[in-house]
Amino acid sequence: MSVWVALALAAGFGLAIAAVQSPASLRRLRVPGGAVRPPEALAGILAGVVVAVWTRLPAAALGVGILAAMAVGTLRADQAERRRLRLRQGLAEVAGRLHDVEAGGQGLAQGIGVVTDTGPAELAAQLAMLRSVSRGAGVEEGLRAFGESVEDPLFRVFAASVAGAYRSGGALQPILSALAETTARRASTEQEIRARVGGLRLAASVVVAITVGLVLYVTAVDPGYLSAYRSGAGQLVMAGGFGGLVGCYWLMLRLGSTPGGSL
Amino acid sequence: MIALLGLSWLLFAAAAWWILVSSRRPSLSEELARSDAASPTPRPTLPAATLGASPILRSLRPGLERSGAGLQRLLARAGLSTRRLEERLALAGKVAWPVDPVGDAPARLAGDEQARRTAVALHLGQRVACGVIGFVVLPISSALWGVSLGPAWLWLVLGVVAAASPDASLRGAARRRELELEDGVVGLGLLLSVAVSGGMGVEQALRQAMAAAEGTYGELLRRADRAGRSGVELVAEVARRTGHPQAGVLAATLRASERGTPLEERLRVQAFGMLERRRQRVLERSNRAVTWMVVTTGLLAGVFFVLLGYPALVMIEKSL
Repeated sequence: MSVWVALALAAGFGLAIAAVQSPASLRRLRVPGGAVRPPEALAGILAGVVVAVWTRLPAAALGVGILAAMAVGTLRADQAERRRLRLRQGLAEVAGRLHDVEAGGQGLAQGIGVVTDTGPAELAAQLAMLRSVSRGAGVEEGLRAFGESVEDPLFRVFAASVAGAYRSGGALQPILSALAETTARRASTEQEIRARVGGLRLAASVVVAITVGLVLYVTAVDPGYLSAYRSGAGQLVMAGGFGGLVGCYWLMLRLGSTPGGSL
Repeated sequence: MIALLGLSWLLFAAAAWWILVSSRRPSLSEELARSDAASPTPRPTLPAATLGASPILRSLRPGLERSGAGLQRLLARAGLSTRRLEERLALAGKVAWPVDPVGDAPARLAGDEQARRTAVALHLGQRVACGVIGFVVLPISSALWGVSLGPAWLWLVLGVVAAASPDASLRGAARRRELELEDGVVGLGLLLSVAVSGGMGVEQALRQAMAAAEGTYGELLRRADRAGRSGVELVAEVARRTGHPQAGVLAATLRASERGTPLEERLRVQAFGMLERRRQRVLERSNRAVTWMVVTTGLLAGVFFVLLGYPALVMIEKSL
């Protein structure tokens, strides 16, 4: 017993060392889906309260609350990831079309007009802004606004490269062609990885859901079975069990995080 | 028995958290998210940030350096090189580079060598300190709280694990900064390529690209910029000090251009080549990730049985 206490102390000590040695590491520790936002917090609190009322087991309530928040965060991140992927595919199309316009001997200003009229629907708002800012404040300013309109480094590189070429009168076609190709290849890689890890992520979610569901089910049909969890030591074991669930689920989501999306 | 189980879980969770935090590598998503673009880094990397922001550890610095220097001498006598560690510290931005005299190359190199040695001594000192803390934690716990001393091998294991913790942290930091720098090199290469194709000279194009460069690499270039140095020299110096291979390739390309080698296409090919290599690395990592995901699913199944089987075990224990 005392050895375990000492080991727990040692682990705590280790954590303290890690935290003091690298305070930034604490900031990097994020919950799946990025920072906790109101929907995640609400889902976590609601699930926790329901389980607390249902089972009267604080460890279960805490564990289920965290898992619920993680699940909602994952859904949100997944949606954002899909949207970002669509925007990137749109950018590849825009780069390709601008390249074609340049190859046809027209200038960048005309190219912007063409992509705004015929560009992908996902980028319609951003392209409209590009055209209007370009008309009012100049092409470079329009490109800057376009690059900042989407939170994606690729958009900034695209905007900076095109603006640089416009400013210096440099050759734009090779850059546009390479950007279009890289972006398209990148999108295909993302989809490939999504397909590869998607099944395993789903399997992890199912195992977690079944575990939580069974605990709740057993509480309903045979409350006596879980009486072992009603002591202090039992709560500790349960906290460890749910801690394991949360840890494994987090690891699973992190390992299987697809490009650009947070866990 | 029950308390032991609970405590072991607590220990497992704490250890897992520590490992994840201290040795965190960029995730697949972060790595691939950078695979096509120079990502701006809002957090500037401080070249002198050898001990993080902690005032506690900064005050311990002289002692750590002394103990580390002692270990460094021992390693040197034993014929063990610390070159790899030096490279990793430089890549992670853990070397406090001196502000060197302009144009005095030998003094600059000597100052850099001294800075590297100091960083290595400090890191080795951290290793020693963490190892000692890990080793004595059980005896101290025993003296303070009367817990068992535990077996001697456990002291040793704790000491070794604790001594390895600064290295785990350093590896993660080096990998993260390597990606940041790679982003910067790609971005600078593209901007340079565009500017040169527009008819600018290399120096003028470099100055313009450096002013627009984002992230750690751009920050390092601007910080190294002092009167009397050409842009090519700055790029070469940052490459030498960081030890980043792609930055070195860019510096070599720029040096070659001073002898008349065409630059525009070479820069573009290099930049997109870097992105392609990174995409392939990420694909390779995703294959490994799938294997670990299968293992983690197995662990999840194990937790499932523990959670639902524990009450049954307690019942059986009571009935016996």
